[in-house]
Amino acid sequence: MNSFGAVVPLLVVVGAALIVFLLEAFLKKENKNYLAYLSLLALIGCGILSANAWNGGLTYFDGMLRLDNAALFLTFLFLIAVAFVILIGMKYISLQDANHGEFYGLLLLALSGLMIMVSSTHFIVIFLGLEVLSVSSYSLAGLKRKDDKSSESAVKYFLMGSFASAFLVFGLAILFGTAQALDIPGLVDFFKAGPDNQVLGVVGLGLVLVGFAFKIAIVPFHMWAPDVYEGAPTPVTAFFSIGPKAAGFAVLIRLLAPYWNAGFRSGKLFGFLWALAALTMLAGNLIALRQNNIKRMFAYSSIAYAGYMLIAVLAGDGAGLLFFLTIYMFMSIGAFGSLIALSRKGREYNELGDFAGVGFKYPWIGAIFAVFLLSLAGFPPTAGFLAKFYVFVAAVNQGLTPLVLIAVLASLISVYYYLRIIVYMYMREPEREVSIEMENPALYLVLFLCLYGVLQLGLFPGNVLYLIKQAVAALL
Amino acid sequence: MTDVFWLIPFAPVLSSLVLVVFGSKLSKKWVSVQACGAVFLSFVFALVAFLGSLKISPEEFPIVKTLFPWIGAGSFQAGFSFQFDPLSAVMVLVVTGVGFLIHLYSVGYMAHDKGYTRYFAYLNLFTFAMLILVLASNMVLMFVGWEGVGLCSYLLIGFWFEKPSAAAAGKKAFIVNRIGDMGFILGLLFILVAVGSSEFSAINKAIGQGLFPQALATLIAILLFVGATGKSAQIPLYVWLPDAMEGPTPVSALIHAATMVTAGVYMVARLNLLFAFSGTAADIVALVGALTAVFAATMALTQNDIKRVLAYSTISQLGYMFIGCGVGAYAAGVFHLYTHAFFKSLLFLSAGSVIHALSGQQDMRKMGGLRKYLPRTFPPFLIGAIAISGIPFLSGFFSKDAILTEAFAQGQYFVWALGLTGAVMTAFYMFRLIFLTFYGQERIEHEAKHHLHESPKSMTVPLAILAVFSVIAGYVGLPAVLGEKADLFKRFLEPVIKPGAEGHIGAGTEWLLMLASVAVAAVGIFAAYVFYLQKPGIPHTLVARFPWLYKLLYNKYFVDEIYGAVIVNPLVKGSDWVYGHFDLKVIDGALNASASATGFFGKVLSFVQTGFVKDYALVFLLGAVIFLGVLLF
Amino acid sequence: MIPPGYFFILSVVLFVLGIIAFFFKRDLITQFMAIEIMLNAANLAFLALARSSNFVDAQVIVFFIITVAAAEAAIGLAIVLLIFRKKKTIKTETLNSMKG
Repeated sequence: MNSFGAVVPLLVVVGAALIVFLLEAFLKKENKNYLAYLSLLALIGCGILSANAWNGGLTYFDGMLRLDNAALFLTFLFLIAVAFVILIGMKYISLQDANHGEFYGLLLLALSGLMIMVSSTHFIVIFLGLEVLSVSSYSLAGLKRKDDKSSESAVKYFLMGSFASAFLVFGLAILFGTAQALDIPGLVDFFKAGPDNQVLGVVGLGLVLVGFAFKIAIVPFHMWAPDVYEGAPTPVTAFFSIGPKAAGFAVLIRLLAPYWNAGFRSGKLFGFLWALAALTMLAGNLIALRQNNIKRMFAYSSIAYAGYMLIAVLAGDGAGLLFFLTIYMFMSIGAFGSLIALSRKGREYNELGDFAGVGFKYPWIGAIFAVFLLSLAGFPPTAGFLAKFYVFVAAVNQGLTPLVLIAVLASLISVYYYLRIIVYMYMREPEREVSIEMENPALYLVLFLCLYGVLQLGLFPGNVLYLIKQAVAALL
Repeated sequence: MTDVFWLIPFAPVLSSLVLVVFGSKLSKKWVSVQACGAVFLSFVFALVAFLGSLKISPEEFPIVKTLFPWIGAGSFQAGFSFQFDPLSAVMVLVVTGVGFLIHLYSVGYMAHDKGYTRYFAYLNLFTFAMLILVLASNMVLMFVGWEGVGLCSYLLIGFWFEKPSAAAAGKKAFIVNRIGDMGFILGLLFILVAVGSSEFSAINKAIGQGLFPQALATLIAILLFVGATGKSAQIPLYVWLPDAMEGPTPVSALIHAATMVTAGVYMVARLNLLFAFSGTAADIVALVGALTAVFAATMALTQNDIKRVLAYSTISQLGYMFIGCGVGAYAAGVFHLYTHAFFKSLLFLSAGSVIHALSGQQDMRKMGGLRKYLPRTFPPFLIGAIAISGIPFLSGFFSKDAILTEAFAQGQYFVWALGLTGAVMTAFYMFRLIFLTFYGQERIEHEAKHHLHESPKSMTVPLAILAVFSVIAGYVGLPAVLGEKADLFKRFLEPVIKPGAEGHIGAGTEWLLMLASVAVAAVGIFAAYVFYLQKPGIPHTLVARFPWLYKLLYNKYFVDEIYGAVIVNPLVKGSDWVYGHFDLKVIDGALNASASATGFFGKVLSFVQTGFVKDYALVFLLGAVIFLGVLLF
Repeated sequence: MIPPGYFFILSVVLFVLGIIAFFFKRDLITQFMAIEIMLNAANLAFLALARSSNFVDAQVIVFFIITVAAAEAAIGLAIVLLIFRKKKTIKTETLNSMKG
């Protein structure tokens, strides 16, 4: 149904971002929290509008923007993620001396980019969304202006990001020239028909995939991720770990899943992605073993997680992917939130050694962090176990047993470094004085909600799976 | 009455939560009362459920209670559901009953430890996970318990984490178990794909309907058995258990003797139809069990650490349980599990009492003549030793004999012979331990002798109770010679373990076999008597005569070192200890070359991560070029 | 009239030149310019291919890409400025505090 209503949620978010930028100039420093409240309000408004559109199938701009259920489900996911990031960032921003207005405004803009990416099946629109997301992300990474690492991560992200974008655009140009179409159904038809000029088309498709592989940090296109994750302000890192990844995978599965039934499963494209998935899981986890900076360790862990998600794509398991992303959102934001909890004015504790004895000194933070770590490691009955479990079962069902074998092996390796943090927290005497800012209710709220999410989804995933089932019908 | 069974696991977990959250505010007394009370409550529930189940007709088993639907998407379902049947009944009774006694014992044993609250929090969490494991009605939930007990075991082995050896032992147990878990997970995945459900009833039904090709059943069974070798410490994954003795002694008794390590046996018994259907897998189980039984027993012969002797003995006895399962005598295997829980935890707790009395001394060379100092520890210890050695009229005799008889009856003479060999050694090393500890010269260090004291009541009372059970527990499973109905235990388990095609042997043969086991036990004990009391010079002569053999046994066949070189070292960097031993002792430099494949890989990859944008872009470009190349050519 | 295929070949050449420049230049600004060349190569490819198949859409797409490139340039230069203020240099090889 063609309706202007399809654009309104997006307009709310963008409008709020612009108002935040404007107000930033006028508000006094002690009142900056109002910007956060305003942003949250906009998120809630957008959430309500999107909820109303559920099952509505609204479209606009000649179908270029298409709010199908998959798009809406991911939009909810992003809204929750950004709301969490805003909440865990409120105190952090002032403690680490960054600029409030930019943080909230840029986050909202990045969110709009994500929403555009998932609400379209036309590659030009997807590209525009991706760029809105990227440009905001570059500046988000550099928000801690006084911090050398933060600036470095911004410049690295910017250079690598635009480099990758150029590949993506060039690929799109080639695809467009050969397939005469840039919408996903058109491209799928083109490749399924197997025309004569497919060679050029395949080159275009390859370049486009490279562009997306960069965004979701698949080895060997992952190298920006550790540096950017380490340097960026921690709430922003939490956002990076889920937002761009989820959107990128949504596009990938929309684009790729339709092929797997048509004999492409034995093809080179499938084989190569298969190898990349294996490489990503193994490399991510093996390098993570060597890290002593926990933020960087999580960066590699999130790379490894991209490998697991790629399995879902290869198995054509849309429901599994959405479920995985949902759970990953809670785990990842929870884990980064716990890192933020361990900070005070002008100082963050990110080294493994800082965590020695934390479990006794701050029992609540320690216990909650431990749950997130166990979930990331895939211990039942936390949600992290179910997430992997669903994907693995689907993959074995599709005959991807060797890949699952590698995945199980990789996740067994990963247990070691997740558990190492717990060991430090509970089985080591403190090495140095760690004092943290305790008064941070918004952060604790998010930690609690994420904990709830991880346990709820681990024990009673029924409701969410029901939503996902409705959403996934639109995806494939 | 049986309906209460689903309540069994929850008291311990509540107790554990309370201890974690309010532990620091509770007085020591309340911690003890609350922790022991919770397990006792579980035990009462278990008992009620068990008594109720006696009146239920066999066809109604298993009784399933779904607490809530857990995983349910499309092709398969798994509920958070428990099931109760005779097999679970035996297991929950053992876990809560023996568990309660060990809790009680811990009150005395851990009284002066600063981690008192933490200890009970872990212990009750363990009890919860173990109960989930044995009550789960599907394999996914069973896996929850499986991982849970592993985690708690890890935490408890490393309980005294200030000791580097304890931390290392915890790590080792963890890593070795993960290898086993991988087998379990894969087996589970295959089951889900083949059956579409992980409910035990569905699996059994699928086997009954012939939905499984036999090859697939064998593959699944072997994968699951790999999991079992990890958890139940069988060849080749047994190496973690001896090191696990770094944990507090009651933990060794509960987790590493009576309950957790039997999880593998439980699983095999639970899936007996699968293993029986495969045939090949069952043979492998029997063979691995028999080899482990002998192999571990040989290593127990030369150990000087009292707890390590018991650890190897546990591995060896677990081997017997697997022999039982492998030759199709699942009931006998579970029977041995049940009697073993009593006498092995008795042995561990008594050993703990000895260690406690000697202010932490575990080396048997520094004991001797303790009989008169520990009048309330010695008799239970002796009873435990007699029971495990297989002397008639005590529990160990009945269960071990049932296994060996069945092995013989099935025509598995090789397995039977191995089992018998193990039995001689069992008797020998147990009595070696008794003689070295309680008889002969006093070799106690001066300082320790000064503090020498008998343990408090809270420790010796559980010993007495366990001793009683070690004597009488066997009478529920008398040998078939004494009448068809004599084996109550087996008949009780029949709803779970369908009596298969059992080999029949004449009563005469059976008496003969029994006599053989008694004879070898007697030989073992007598040899120990000669070696360590009558002519204490003999062991030294033997060592002098066969130094290589002694060295081989004493160093546990260097298995730790070999594993260290081939597997552990590459995975855990900086395991200097392994490297040192490896370098010093083991023959072969060539093995060293297999060093750190994984570590190397990680190193190379992180070496590429130079920090320079251009290098990143170069890798990116290479990736893109290779990608296009693959697509085009 | 020059066949559209030639334009396409030119665009590929430009793209490759952009990549080469990205690797051979050593300061942030020129590297970014190299990326701009790559983007414009894509623009040219769009136009060339559009012309060969008479698709008007491509010309609209090119406008989008130009806009995006402008936005990237704005943010990019701001980030470069940030670096310059801190380090007083914009050489890329000074930026490797994070690695491994």
